[in-house]
Amino acid sequence: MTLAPKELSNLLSIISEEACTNSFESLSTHFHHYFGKAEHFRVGSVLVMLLQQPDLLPSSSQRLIALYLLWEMYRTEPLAANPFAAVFAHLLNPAPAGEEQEKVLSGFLPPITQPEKFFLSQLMLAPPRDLFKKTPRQVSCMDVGNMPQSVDISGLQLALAERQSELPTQSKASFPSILNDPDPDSSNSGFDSSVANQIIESLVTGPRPPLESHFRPEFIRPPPPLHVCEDELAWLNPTEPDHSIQWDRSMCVKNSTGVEIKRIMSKAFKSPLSAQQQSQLLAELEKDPKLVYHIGLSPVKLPDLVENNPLVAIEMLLKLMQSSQITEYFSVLVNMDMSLHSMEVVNRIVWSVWSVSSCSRSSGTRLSMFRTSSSRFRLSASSSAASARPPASSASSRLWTLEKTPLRPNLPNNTRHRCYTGGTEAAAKRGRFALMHTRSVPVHHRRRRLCSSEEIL
Amino acid sequence: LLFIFKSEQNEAKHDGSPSLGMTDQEKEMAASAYEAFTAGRCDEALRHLEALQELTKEDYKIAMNKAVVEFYKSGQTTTGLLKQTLMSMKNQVHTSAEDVDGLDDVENSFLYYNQAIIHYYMRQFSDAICIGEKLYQFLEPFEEKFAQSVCFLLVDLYLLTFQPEKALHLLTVLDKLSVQGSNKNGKGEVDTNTKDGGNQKAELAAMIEAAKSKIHQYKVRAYIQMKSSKACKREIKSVMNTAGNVSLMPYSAPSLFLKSNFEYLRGNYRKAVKLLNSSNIAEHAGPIKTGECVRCMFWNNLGCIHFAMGKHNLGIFYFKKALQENDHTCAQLGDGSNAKKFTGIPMCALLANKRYELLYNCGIQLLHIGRPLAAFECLMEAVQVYHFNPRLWLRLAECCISANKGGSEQESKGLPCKKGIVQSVVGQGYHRKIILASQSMQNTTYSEGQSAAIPVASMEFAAICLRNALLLLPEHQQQELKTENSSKNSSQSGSTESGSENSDACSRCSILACSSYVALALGDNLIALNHAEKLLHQTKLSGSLKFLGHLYAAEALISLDRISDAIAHLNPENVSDVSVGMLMNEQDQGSDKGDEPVESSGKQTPLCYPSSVTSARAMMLFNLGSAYCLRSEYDKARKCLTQAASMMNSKEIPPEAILLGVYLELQNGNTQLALQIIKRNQLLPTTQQRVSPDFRKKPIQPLQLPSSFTQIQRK
Repeated sequence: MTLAPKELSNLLSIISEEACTNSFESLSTHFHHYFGKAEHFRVGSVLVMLLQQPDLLPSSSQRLIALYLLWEMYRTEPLAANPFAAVFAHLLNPAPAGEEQEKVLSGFLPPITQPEKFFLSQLMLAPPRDLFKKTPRQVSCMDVGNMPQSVDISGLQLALAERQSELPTQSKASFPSILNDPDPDSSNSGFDSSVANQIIESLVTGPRPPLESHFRPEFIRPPPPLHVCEDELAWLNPTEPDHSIQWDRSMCVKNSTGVEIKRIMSKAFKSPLSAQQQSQLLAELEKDPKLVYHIGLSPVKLPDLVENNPLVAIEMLLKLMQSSQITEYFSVLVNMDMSLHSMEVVNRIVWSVWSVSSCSRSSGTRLSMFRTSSSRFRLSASSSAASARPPASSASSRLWTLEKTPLRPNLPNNTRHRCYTGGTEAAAKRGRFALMHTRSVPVHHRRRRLCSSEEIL
Repeated sequence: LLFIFKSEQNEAKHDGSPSLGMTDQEKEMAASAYEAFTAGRCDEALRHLEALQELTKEDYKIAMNKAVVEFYKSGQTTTGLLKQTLMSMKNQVHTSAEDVDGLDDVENSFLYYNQAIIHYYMRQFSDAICIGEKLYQFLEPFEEKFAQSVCFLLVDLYLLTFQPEKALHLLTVLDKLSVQGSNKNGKGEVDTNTKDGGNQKAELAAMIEAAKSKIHQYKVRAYIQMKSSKACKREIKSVMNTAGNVSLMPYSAPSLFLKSNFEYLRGNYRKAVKLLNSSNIAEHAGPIKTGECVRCMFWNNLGCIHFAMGKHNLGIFYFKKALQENDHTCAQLGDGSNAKKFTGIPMCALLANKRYELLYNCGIQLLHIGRPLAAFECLMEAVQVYHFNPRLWLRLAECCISANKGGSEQESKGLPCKKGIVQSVVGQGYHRKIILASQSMQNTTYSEGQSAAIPVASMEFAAICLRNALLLLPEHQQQELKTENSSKNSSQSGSTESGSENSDACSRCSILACSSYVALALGDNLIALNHAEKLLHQTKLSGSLKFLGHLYAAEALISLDRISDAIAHLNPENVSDVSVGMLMNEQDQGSDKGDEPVESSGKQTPLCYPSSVTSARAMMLFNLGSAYCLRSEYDKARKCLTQAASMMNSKEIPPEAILLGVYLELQNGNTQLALQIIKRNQLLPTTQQRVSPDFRKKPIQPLQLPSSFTQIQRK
């Protein structure tokens, strides 16, 4: 928006007192020599500012040049499209007499002389060609007393009003922020163009010149207060962290049995195990209560195990009783297809949970959880629970008697298989016998472990 | 450790039948390697492991233990190397068993645990939490000691990442674990050797006791984060008890610091200072051993206390001292290049550097003291580490705002400030011209030709910071859901949850207010309006921000040419309260006032902005006048102006108001009067030359210092 000092001096040379002896036409050529279309608006703004400051542009002929240039820059376009048309309208608008003296506002343009008015109104109409052959000085001295004074600018005013109505209210409310404040003590000791030019330069050039700023009602905008919060600052507490890199104690220890047990387990998911494998597996499980978590029995695989090796499944589920995942196992169990094996497993689990629940309430809740999760098994489960209601002492004595029962000799693998498919009764029998077999470990040991682990729940 | 090892060894001995996978020889070798390791004979352990590796190559755990031994042998200084080794092992394990179905991971728990530990010390907390939570799923299969380690690690991580609820949950699990452990101990396991059984029992008891006191300490930290003062008080008591029980030594630094922290939060600042002073920081083992520089923490906490007391200069002094101490520690630990490679310094000392916390504190302190640019520098460095902290982004934006607000620094220094009215005077004598300052020019600040993403204290950068802050705050809906839940919960957890929520809500309000302000300054009126309206819809809005919300909304509406809407916002009746503070604190504090006299700290006294309701209303009236001016309703505007001026001390009248007076005079054609107003820099009673009587009568409010601060200082 600003003019460079060089541009400004060019402009000032065109409107200088000395230039007033040139004809308008030659001034126009000069002007177009110095300024291209792109600079027109900026130059125009400076000219308007000069028109607003009578002390900087004192002579009538200079004002004529300024007005002429404002018009000349946009002469090819319709008058209302001239961005400075409002200036023309304002100057030509006959102000009500009387008020004129008072309202010499800094923001508004001071009134112009009659010849200037005449010249301007000529511009508004189609100007005669020979008008521009004259010099500004000639025009300013014209006697305009007998010439037609007023020109109808209502059309222009209407167009301007229309254009302004599109502007936001705020931008229409501005004054220029340059306010004349002549020192009443200093008399006007003649116009010195070099002083004036200096002042103009300081008003127009540089970054953010006063020319650009405007003055309008401003809003008070207090910045928000600093955010208030309680414990924003980082308070540092010594914590003495003692997390340390740990030696893997499962090296070569659990892994050795683990490999073998895992191998047996993977078989157990596919087919019934041999008696030797089964006893090895159960023995290892008994030895290390946490082994059950390491052998790859996930809830998804449980049905396979139940169908192929129900006894192993029972033992493992009992071991998993403290796991957080036990409900998942249960829900898989109750949702699998009903078979003799699955019923047997459910039956056994419910029975053993009952025998523990007399020691601790939490397992009772587990049982009820188990019950509600199984709608299909509810009947059988609760009936078996009812039948297994004897108090804890008798339950344990019964376990002892079970253990004393002689073991059933293990059949070869193929016979067992036939036995299994042969009939439900045989399978059930086998299940019972095998159950006794599993109970051959000292029961008091297991019971105590269960109790102690229930306590923590 | 010894106990577990023994029991395992015994197990191995009882186990007569050799299993197929491992020979007895290998087992023995593994056992003796472990024995050597626990006894600290690293070389011997390494020899055993190497021999073991010659026998079997299958088990990657041999290699891992070897790496572990080597790590300890180096004095825990080869963290980076160990990390790489573990990473490659993990990749091996995973490629060999592609379809890991959860439970298999139990096998590799130590590998994962060690990885998590390294992440923890490298401050990669989210990675560490990720692994820790995976391990936690398989907590049951683990032996108790290891399960405990996993839990403790996870608790620590949750606290470091400000998730106290999760930490508390885990702490209850830990409580159970330790109860279980002590029960077992009490019953006397059969397989303890009779010879040194007694020793072991004592050792175990000490271990359990230590774990208990650690649990209490963690609980205090969690409750402090949850701002639940009652629960905190209870836990502090047990911390002090256990700390006193274990030995008749004076209280340990951690417990004293925790108690001091508690008193600091309650506003008992002098007590907090006393507690800090009673901890014997001189005798603390240095940061190389413990990984913590207690001296630096001491100075920092003193800084916090003095900040809270409003003694900002002392605060700065202590924070700088803490920074020096920290630099000193870092220098001791070796130069930065080592720290970057994670080698050369012990692993625990990787966490010793508290530079970013200190910078954060310093920045906040500088911001409050009115040095936004210095604060900006500090916080910019801190934000590189804490880029997930919405409040930090808010603070950065506040630095930018305060740096661009202009004038305030000169004002505070008491220099004559002609801010606002006259930009310059050009020419002399006949040509003298006054250039009026355009407020909008002053307020609108573009830093042209520079990307806004470059961190300079500009308004553009403030806008980016605020956007980050808003994005990082937890979602609105979630928050509301949470409140519903918490109200259903037990009263205790309910009240504590609302604490963190409240602070989130307050942060949201502040962020929205700042966003609106910054958008106005940048000329983004629609965005400004949007933020202001959102602000006005917040439920936990303080009176002060409500006032600002109306002001900002009105200004944005004016710029959007919706003047009638703006005038609706500018009703002075909209302001009834201008307190900044949060009221919920007082309630919280009041609840436990009965059992102990709380130092009258003045913490509760709400700050006000602007200084009073009257001045806020006056500001609204000034703006209302401006709005009327735009509608060419000059008489109404003049009425507003005189009414507002009568409400205020004439020295406090803002430049905008004086310019409004000038504008009205100019509109009236009264240039001389306008010039007079400018020259005296005060509003003149226009038509009537007398001073209006009620102007005198009004109580004149001095520029209000936050009363709490002055109160403290008088003490």
